[in-house]
Amino acid sequence: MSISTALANATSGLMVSSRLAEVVSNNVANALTPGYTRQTADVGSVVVNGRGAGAQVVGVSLAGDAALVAASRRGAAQSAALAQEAATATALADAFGRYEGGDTLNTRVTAFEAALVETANTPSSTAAQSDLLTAAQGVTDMLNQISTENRRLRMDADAEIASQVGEINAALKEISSLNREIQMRAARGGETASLQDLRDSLVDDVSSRLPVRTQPRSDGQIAVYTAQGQPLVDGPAAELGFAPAGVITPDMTLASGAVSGVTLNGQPMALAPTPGLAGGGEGTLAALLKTRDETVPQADAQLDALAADLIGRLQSSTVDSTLAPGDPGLFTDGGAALASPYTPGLAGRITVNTAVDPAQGGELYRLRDGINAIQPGLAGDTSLLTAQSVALSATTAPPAGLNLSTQSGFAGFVAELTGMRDASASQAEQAATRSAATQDILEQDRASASGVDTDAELQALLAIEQAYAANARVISVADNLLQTVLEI
Amino acid sequence: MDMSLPDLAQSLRQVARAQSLRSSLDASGTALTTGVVPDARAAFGGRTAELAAIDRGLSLAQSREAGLSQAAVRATYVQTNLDSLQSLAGTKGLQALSASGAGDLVSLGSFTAEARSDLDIAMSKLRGQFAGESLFAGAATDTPALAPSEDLMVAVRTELALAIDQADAVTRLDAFFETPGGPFETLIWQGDDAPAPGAPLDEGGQIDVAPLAKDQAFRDILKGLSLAAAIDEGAVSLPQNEQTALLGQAGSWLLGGEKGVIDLKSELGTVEQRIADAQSFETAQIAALQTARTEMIGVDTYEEASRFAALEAQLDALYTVTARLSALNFTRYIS
Repeated sequence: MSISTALANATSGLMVSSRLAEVVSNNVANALTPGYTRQTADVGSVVVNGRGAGAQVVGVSLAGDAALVAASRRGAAQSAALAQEAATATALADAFGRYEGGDTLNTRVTAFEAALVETANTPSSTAAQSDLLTAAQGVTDMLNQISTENRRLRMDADAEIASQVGEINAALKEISSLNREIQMRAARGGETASLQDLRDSLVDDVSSRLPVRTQPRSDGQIAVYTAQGQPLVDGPAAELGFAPAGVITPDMTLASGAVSGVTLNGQPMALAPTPGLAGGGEGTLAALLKTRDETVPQADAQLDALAADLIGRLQSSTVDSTLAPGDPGLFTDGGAALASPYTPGLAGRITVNTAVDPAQGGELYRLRDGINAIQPGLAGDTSLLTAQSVALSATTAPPAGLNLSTQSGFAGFVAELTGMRDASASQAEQAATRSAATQDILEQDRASASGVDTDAELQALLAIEQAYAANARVISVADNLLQTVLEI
Repeated sequence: MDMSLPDLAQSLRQVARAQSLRSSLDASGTALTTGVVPDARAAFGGRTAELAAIDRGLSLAQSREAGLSQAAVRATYVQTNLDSLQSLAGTKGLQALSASGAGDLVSLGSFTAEARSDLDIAMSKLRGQFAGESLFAGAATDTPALAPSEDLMVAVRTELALAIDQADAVTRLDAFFETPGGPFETLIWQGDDAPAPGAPLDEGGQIDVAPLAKDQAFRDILKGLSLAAAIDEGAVSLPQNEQTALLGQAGSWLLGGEKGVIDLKSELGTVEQRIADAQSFETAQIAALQTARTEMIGVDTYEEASRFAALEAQLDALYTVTARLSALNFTRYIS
């Protein structure tokens, strides 16, 4: 009968309205949840035997633009990589000391050179000699410190790679199990929008560490691939492997096998660099590997070349006539003379010769009279001190490991190297800032398409409220009509 | 297509803007109070190498300046000592020579009577020090340049006791003082031939300031005075006329020494001029480097103050806009 049909239609209208209100309330509750995608209920009409029979909620869909999602994921990978490279470059430059702090490798080298001049003014003064010793130790201490800092950077990168690999593995497993869950639900005809949203946020998480592409599969599942096309989730989840090295010394490299790369299901994984602003790979993982295996070892090699230049300039017998060939000069490689070639890590081993340090059984007068002097010489002898000043500021070709092109004195090499570090750091920071700004815009665009605007939701709620009231009225009227009929 | 601005995105955007304005404001405030650029690396990038070179130049120039002023004072001390030696040698030499030529025994007598104390004065000038360092001893600045005057007198007396006549006495004294590596250089001269710490030069190396106490001029003076003192003590047993002749020889040695000291003084004058030139060079260099440094990292306080005020106004406007926009909420109107 039509009246009971009317009743049924109105009831279905009520249910649709309540369902819509539920979706609106979920949206409003998650208005501030980062990564939440707005849900919309798709309403359709029910047709039975060619006649309209009410309304139903066909499904709940996620708002959003797939292209914007893909763009923001790529942007996230690149800006994460650039941020990591900027952090590395800044740490490498800060190790040399910040200019504003007034204590940099440059100031320490200058203090040493000034101490040489001042001791040459009064070579008999023990106070001046002691100042000279302190200044020399200041230079070696700082070189040691920078070397230690570089080691720490590599070890931190190694530990971070291990934790990133662990997190990626966990996320991939979760994506795979969500795939199965969504497939089962879809088969039963249930609603999968929230699970899909959860899975999307997991893919976002992975993509900033390791750039990925997704492909839709049957029944709402997705497959996840790396940018190079290797499958990460295609049915079962793949597993990344990595062996952390713990303590890393300068001689440990990827080539020597002492530190390990990342494997995918046991095979070495290619994290090929993509041509980009910084020229490095995308994603935090690639950037961390670059830090550990390229950036910091190069910086170490340059620092070692600098230390070798310092030792070499003062190690000759033309500067210090008391030195025999093969004797270490004022600066030593852990107590020994500079070997050629020298072992990596020289900057961590450079030290002032114990022969001039009273605290280690040496004598201060050897700063004036020569490393191998047995007894104090002439009180006013400036020959060694002047020769050392001249040797330090003598313009020579830059040592091979330093990657400089102009000839200069030792202080000039230090200034150029510091300048190179500063330039790299400031360029990397600018690239990271630009990329972060672009990423912000991409995220905003994505959020505009898929975020929640409470004003819009509440306006929709007004309409839903009205519809609910109208359906309730229809029920009430249909009920009255039935009553009227029954009273006949 | 109108993109609606979801709540989260809007609030994040406001926060990001406020944060960036705030950090600009902080940097500007730091620049205002310290007067230098707050972040040298962000301002210069790789040109911090230039800044480091300027700082190094400044520091080394200041060290050299200190050394140069020290050397200038040392040079003044040396000149003063040379002055005394010159006047002593000049007056006494003239007195001795003319008195000897005229046969004026009274004059000669007063010459010899003061000879020993004159010798002591001359030796003390040559053993002179500045700031605890010997002036005329070369690199051996911790020892006096010459042995005590009594040592010299003992040696001279011994030599003269063996003299048979005037010519022999002269020969013996010449042999004593002049022989390279001879008694004077081994017994009396205590310094070293290596140069004393001098004034530092920009290109490295030093200007040597003081002559050595074994210079010929000083030997002549000591020869003359020690001979006169020995005669005064009666250590020379020669007849009177030979003694008079010897005193005349002593006088001419003294005058020769005076001339030598004048030459040394003029050489020292040249050195002093070089030191003064180097000092004014260093001063000019320091001034130029400081100007360059200020130009690089200094901040114009007026410009910076107006920038600070502009940022302040911007942040104020942002806060007002945020407050107004957050009040425009549909929720408020349907309750």
